[in-house]
Amino acid sequence: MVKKAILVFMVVILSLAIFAPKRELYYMLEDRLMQNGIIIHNEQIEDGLISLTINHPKIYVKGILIANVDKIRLWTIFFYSRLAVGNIDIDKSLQKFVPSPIKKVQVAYSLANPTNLSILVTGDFENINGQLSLKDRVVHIDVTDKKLINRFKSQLRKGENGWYYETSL
Amino acid sequence: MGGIMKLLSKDKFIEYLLIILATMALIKILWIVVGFLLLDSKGVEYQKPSEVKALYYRTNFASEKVQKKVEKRDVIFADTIDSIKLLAIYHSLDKTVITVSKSGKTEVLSTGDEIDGYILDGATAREALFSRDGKSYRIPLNSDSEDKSKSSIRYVTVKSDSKKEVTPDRDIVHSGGVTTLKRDFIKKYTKNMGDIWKNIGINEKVVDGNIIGFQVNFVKRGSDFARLGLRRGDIITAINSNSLDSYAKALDVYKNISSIENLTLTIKRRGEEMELEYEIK
Repeated sequence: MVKKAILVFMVVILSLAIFAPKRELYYMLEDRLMQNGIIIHNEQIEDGLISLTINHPKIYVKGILIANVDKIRLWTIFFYSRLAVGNIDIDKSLQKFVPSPIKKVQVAYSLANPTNLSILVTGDFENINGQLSLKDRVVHIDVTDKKLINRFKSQLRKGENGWYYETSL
Repeated sequence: MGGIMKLLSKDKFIEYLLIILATMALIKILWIVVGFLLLDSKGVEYQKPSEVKALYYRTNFASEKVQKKVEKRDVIFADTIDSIKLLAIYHSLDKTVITVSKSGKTEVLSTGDEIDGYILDGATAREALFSRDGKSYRIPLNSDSEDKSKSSIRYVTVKSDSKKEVTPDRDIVHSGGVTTLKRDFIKKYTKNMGDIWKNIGINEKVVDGNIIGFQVNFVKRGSDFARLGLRRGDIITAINSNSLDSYAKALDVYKNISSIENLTLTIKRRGEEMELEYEIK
């Protein structure tokens, strides 16, 4: 009986990921993002077994072209989900406000830490780690790269563990 | 015996296989129903706004001999400000200063100063422009003083001894009803955007889900933005006649501001539309 239950559980988890209408779920996500002023434009969508890849999208925020992206990959198996954005080319006019170039932004969610999303940003600077608290709706990003600290000092705050950026959603 | 075990294990295998297939089929059906009822079959694409206007269509009004009014509003003549009489107007390179008489006392005012709740917005050669409660008031030069001496309208050059009275504001020059901004002044703020938000707070003004402009939430007293004539509550609805109805248009202004020569802000102040004009040199 226990064996059967475990088998059913495993099959349910895998089936949920495999049979999920990924495109339609992505369109729903797009719609939600649009309500917050974010539009993913001109993308080519590629279905995987348990993933969805969005190639060459342009990201608009409130009508402003923020970035051209090489690839966005969504990957989920219910208890662990990950969104990886690769090679982000920030629009020139906005490079003053955002560190660039950004090689990868990775946002991950795990049921082991259900109230937080972890954030990792890599680029031509020391890795940036952060968290999005779903409970408090606060993004906290720790910045350790000295160049970035000097460049964005006016937007950063200093805490016990060094400089950080914090904003509420 | 071995045959029976084989048969049993075969039966179990089929049973497990059936369980797996049934579960998978159930999940698939579940997703189809969810997809059909709740999910979209089409994505969202960015629609580029069609109306595109150049930012720099303005003529160089500063070179025109006719002095323009800084603001266009309903104008009420000075008869309504009984208590104030305009005695003289001084245009220096840096500032406009007027002398007024109130209850027998003489007072000197420069742009932005207040008297009896009326704020001095500027002056032409023959009249001073005040505003109060969203209305403009135009006080012509007092005819008595004009008759006595036409020198009451004077263009003066700021010298070291007059600096005490007229503080030179080199980045922003008010002269002859025209406000001139230095290009370096613009550069200073485009390079350090953080400095803007220390002095002025601006947010989009949304009506029925559409942005109609950007509202000034606060202006630091004495800041460059106060000197530009912006006030709390102003809604900037257009820049150089391009309606400011999206963030993209606001960013376009930011991108092109280093190359524009004239800047006209159309603003709504207490429900009245008016224009603030600047020349960038």
